[in-house]
Amino acid sequence: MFIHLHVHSQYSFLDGASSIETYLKKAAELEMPAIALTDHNNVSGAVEFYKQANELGIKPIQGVEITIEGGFHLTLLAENNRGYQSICKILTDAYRLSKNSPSVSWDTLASYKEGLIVLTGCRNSAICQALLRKNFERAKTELYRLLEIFGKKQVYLEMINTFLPRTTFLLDALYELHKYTDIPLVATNNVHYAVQENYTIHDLLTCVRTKTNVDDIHPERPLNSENYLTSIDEMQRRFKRYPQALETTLEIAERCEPALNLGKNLFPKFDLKDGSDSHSFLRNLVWQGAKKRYSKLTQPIINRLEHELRIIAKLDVADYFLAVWDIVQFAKTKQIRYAGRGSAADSAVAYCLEITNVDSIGRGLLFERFLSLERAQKPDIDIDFDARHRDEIAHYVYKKYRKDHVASVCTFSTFHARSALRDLAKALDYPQDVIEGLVKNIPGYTPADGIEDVLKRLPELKGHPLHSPRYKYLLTLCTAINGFPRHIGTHLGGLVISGEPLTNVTPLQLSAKGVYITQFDKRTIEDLGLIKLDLLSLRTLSAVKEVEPVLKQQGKSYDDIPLDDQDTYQMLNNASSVGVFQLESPAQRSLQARLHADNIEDIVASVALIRPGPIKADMVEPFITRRHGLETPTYLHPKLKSILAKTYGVVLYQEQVIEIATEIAGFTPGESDRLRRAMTNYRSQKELERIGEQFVTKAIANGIEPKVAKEIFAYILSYAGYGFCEAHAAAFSDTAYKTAYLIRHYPSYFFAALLNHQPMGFYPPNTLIVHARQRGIKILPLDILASEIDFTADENSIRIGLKQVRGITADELQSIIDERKIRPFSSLADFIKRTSVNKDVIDNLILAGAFDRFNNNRRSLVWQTATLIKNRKNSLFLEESDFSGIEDFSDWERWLNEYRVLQLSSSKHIMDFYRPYLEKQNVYTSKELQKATPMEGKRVTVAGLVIRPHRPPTRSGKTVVFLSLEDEYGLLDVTIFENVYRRFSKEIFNFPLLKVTGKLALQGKLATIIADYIQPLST
Amino acid sequence: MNKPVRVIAKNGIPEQFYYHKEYRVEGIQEQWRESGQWWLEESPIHIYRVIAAKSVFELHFFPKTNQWLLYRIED
Repeated sequence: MFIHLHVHSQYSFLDGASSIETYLKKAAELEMPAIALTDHNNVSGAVEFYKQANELGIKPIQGVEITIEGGFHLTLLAENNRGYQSICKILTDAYRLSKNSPSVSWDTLASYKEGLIVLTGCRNSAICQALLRKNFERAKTELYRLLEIFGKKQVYLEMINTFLPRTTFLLDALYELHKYTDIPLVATNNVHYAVQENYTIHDLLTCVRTKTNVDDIHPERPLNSENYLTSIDEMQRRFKRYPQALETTLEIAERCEPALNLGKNLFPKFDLKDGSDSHSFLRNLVWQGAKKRYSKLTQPIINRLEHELRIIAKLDVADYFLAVWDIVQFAKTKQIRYAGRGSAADSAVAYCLEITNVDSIGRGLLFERFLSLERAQKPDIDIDFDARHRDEIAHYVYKKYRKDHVASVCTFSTFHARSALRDLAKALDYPQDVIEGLVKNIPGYTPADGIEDVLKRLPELKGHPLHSPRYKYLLTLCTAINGFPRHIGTHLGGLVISGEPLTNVTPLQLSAKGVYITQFDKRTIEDLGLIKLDLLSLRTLSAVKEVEPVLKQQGKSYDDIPLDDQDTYQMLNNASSVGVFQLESPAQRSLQARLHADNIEDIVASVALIRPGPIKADMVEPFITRRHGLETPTYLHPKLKSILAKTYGVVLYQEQVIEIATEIAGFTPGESDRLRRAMTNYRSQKELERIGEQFVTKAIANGIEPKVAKEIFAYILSYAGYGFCEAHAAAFSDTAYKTAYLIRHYPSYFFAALLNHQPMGFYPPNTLIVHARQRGIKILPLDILASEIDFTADENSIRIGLKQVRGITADELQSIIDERKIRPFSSLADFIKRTSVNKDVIDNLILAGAFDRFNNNRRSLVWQTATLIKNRKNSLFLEESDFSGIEDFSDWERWLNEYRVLQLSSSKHIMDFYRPYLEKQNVYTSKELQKATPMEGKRVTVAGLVIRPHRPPTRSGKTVVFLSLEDEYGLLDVTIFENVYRRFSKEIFNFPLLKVTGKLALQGKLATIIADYIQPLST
Repeated sequence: MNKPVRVIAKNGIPEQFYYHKEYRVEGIQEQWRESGQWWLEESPIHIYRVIAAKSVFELHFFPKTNQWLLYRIED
C-alpha cells in the first residue's frame, strides 16, 4: 500500500499542471484511500480539496511545501486542525518578510510547530543538498535542527525516486542517515501532474514561471517526466530496495485527522458597550429605523420585520447586520455617499437600518431571496461607496476590528485565451511579432479552451493565423491550461472580518496593492466560517457627490429628488440618456425609446430587462407590448396574476419565481428559493426531472390541476435561469433615475462630474463632451490660466481640466496651481521658468491649446520648448524666440494633436473635417435622421467614429453586432445582422471611422440603422 | 558510441547484455531518465550505468522503440 503525501495542484502557481479534481479522480482510480495536498507556500486549494476528497471517499491530508531560510524546501503535513493553524501562521510570517519570495525562518518554525508532521523535503531541501554535496555531517546537522524543534515522532526522511541523475546515490545516503539517526523513511513522488502525458504542460508552465523558453537550460527544467501520480505498483518498483518507505506513508496517513473545521461562524460579536446582546440591540435599531422610514407602522410592516428578525436570530447573524450598520453609520458621519445593492435590498431590516434604500415591504420583495432558514447560507451584503472614499471605509474596518482580524478576499487571475496564447507561445520561443499576430482580435472574454470555437464562429477571424495547422498543438496546450490560476490578487471589494485571528483559518499575505489578503477566494472563504462583505467603489457616487453642493445652493438634496419628475422621464423616452447610470447603453436607449417610462417601476424593469438572460428568453418585446396595453397578459392560473401583474405577466424577477413556487406548490419561501437555485444550477437532465416531479406533486396536493402544474413548471423553468434579482434592480434604479434627473436639470455640472471620474460608464469622455454640447453646453478649451485640475462647470459651460492632459502627474498639476496662485503665468517662458513640468507634458499642454492665449501658433511654441527648458535653471529671465514666421499646424493637425493629448476635443469633432465631402455624397448626420420620420424604412448612408462594437447574446443564438457611430451631433446606433457581419467583419472591428448604408428604423424617437453595407472612411 | 546492443532486462532493469560477448550486470551504479526535447519530438531515454566485468557501461533504453544502445564504456 502507498499514499501520495507530496502533491502540487494548480495552486502551486505555474508549477502544478493538474487540478485537484483530476488528482482525486486519479487517486480514486488507483484505489488510494488518502492523498495529501502540498502546494508551494499556500493552502488555497484546501477547502476544494477537503470537500471533493470527502465526496469521493478519499481522506484529504492538508499540507504545504514551504521555503525556509536559505531557499530550501520542506514538506509539512497537518496532523490535525492545530497543525493546519500552524501552517496558516507559518505562511503568514513567511509572506510578511517577503511578499514575492516567502521564506520561513527557523524561529517561525519553532514558534508554530504544534500539530505538524515534517517530511524532510525534495532535492531542494537542506538535507538532500548537503548529501548531494557528500556532506554527511551537514545533512545530520540539518536533520537534528528539525528534530530539536519537532521531536523524533514528527519527522520523517523523505525519499523521492523520479529517476533524476544521482538518485541512487541520494537514496543510499538517505538510507545511511536513517540508519544513523533511526528517523523513519517515507517515500513520495513529488507530484506535479496527474499523468505522465501532462509533463509537457508542466514544462511549459515552468518556462512561463522562470521566464525562459523551451530551448533554454534552467535548473528547474531537468527534462524529466517522472513526477506524476504513480500507481502503487510503480512505487513498489521504484522502492524495491526500500519497501519500508512505502509502508510509512500509510502510517502517516492514519495519524492525520481532518485539518479543517468547516461550517463554523467566526463573525465577531458586535461590541456593545451597554452589555446588551446583539439581537436585542438590533431589534431596537430596526424599530427606531422603521419609525423613520414608515409614517405608520401597520400590522403587515410589523409582521414582516418580526419575520425577518426571527430568521436573523435563528441563523445567529445579528452581529453581521450590526457590523454593516456600523460601517454605513461611519460613512454617514463622514458624509461619504453609499448605496446598498444586490439581494440585501430584499430585506426590510436592511432598509430600516439604512443599509439599503429600497422599501422591500412596499415593493412586495421576498426576504427569502436574501436569507432563509432552508438555504442556511450566510448573508452577503454589497455596498457601493463613493470611489474616492472606499479605502477610507476599509481602513475604518481594519482599525475597528484590528488588522489581524480583517483582510481582503483574494482572487485568482486565471488563464484565458489571450494570456494562454501569449505565455505559451513565448515559452515555445515564437517571435514577438508572431505572438502579437496570434493574439490579435481574439475577444478578451474567450476562455483558453474556446479559441477554436471563436475561430469558427467569428467571421472577422476568418484569415486569422491560428487557423493554420501548425498552431493546432498550441491550441491543444491552451485548452489544457484553461482556468488554471496564474497568480493571486485582490478581490475588488470583498472583506472578511473574524472574531478570532484570521490566521486560525487562513494564511494572510500582502498583495501587490499592499493589502493583506486571504489565500481563499470568494468561492471557498465562507466555508471556513468567515462571512464576506463587499465594500465596492462606484464612481457614479463620486460624480453625484460632486454635484450635491449645487443642489444644496438651491435648497435641494440628492436624496430628496422626486421620483415622478416627468421632464426626466421625457428625456429618457427621447433616448437621451448618455451619462445615466445603467441606462445609457444602446440597448437601454433603444428600450427607453420604446418603453416610454413614466414611473420608477418602469426604470426598475428596464434595469432587469436589458441583460443577456431576458433578451435570450425573449422577455423584452412582450413586456413592452403589454406595458402599452397592446396585448393583454394571460395567466396560466389565477394565482399567478397578483405575482406577475406588475410585470404584465412576464416573469422578470427571481423573486417572482420564488413566489410562484410558494403559491402554486405550497413550498415555504426558503424552499422555493432553493428550488429556484436548483433549477438554475442543475447538473443533469435527470436532476431536473426530479425537481419537476417534486414541484408538480406538491402543486397537485395544493389543489392545482396536473396539466396546469406541469405547464407552470415549464414556464418558470424557462425563466428561472434568466430572471434578475428585483431587489438589485430596484436598488440600481434609484441611482439610475436620480442620475437621469441630474442630467436633465443640472447637465453641465453632472457631465463635468462624470468627466472628472473617468474611466466609468459606457462611453468614452469625448462622447460625453459631444452630448454635453448637444444640450447647449459650451465646452471651454484647456487654458493654462483658467483651467483647474478638474473639469469645472457653471450653468452653461464646462471647462476642460488640466488633469486630462496625457502624461501629466499629480505633482505637476499641483505645482501649476500653486505657482499660479502666487502670480498668473504671463507666457510660455514664464511657465517653464517657474514650474518643473517635464518637456513631454509641456509639449502636450501646448498641443492641447493651453497656451493659445499667449500665442496661437502652437508649432512655434513647440519649437521653443527644448531651448527654454535647457535654459530654465541658468537664466534669471527666460525669453521666447521669435518664430512667428513659422507656419502653424493645419486645422486638421491641430485637431489631431489636441485629440491625441486630451482624448477629446473642445472645438470640433473629427466628422467636421469629413462633412463637406460627405454632404456631396448624401451622407446624413445623426441630427438629420433623428428628425427624419418620413424616411423610415428608406435606405440611407451615415458615417462616424465607431463606438463600442459588441456582440451580446441574442434570442436566436445568431451573431448580431451592435455599435454606435458618433458624429458631430451625437450617436446613431447601428444593428448589423449576421449575414452582413460576415461580409464586413474586418471593417467593423479594424477601422475607427466607418460609412454605413442601411435601412432607417425608428424605435420610438430613436433612429437606428439596420446595416447592409459597410466601408471604412479613410483618414 | 551509440551502438545498438541486445539487452535482457527484468522489469526494465538490465541484467545481461551482448557487446562482442555476453556481459552479466553486477550492479547498477546509477540510472536516470530524460524526457528528451519533447518540442522537437525527441524520444524519452532511460539511462543505466551498469557495472560489468570491472567496467562501467552506459546503456540507453528508448521506450518508444524498445531499443537499447551502448552509449559509453568506462574502464
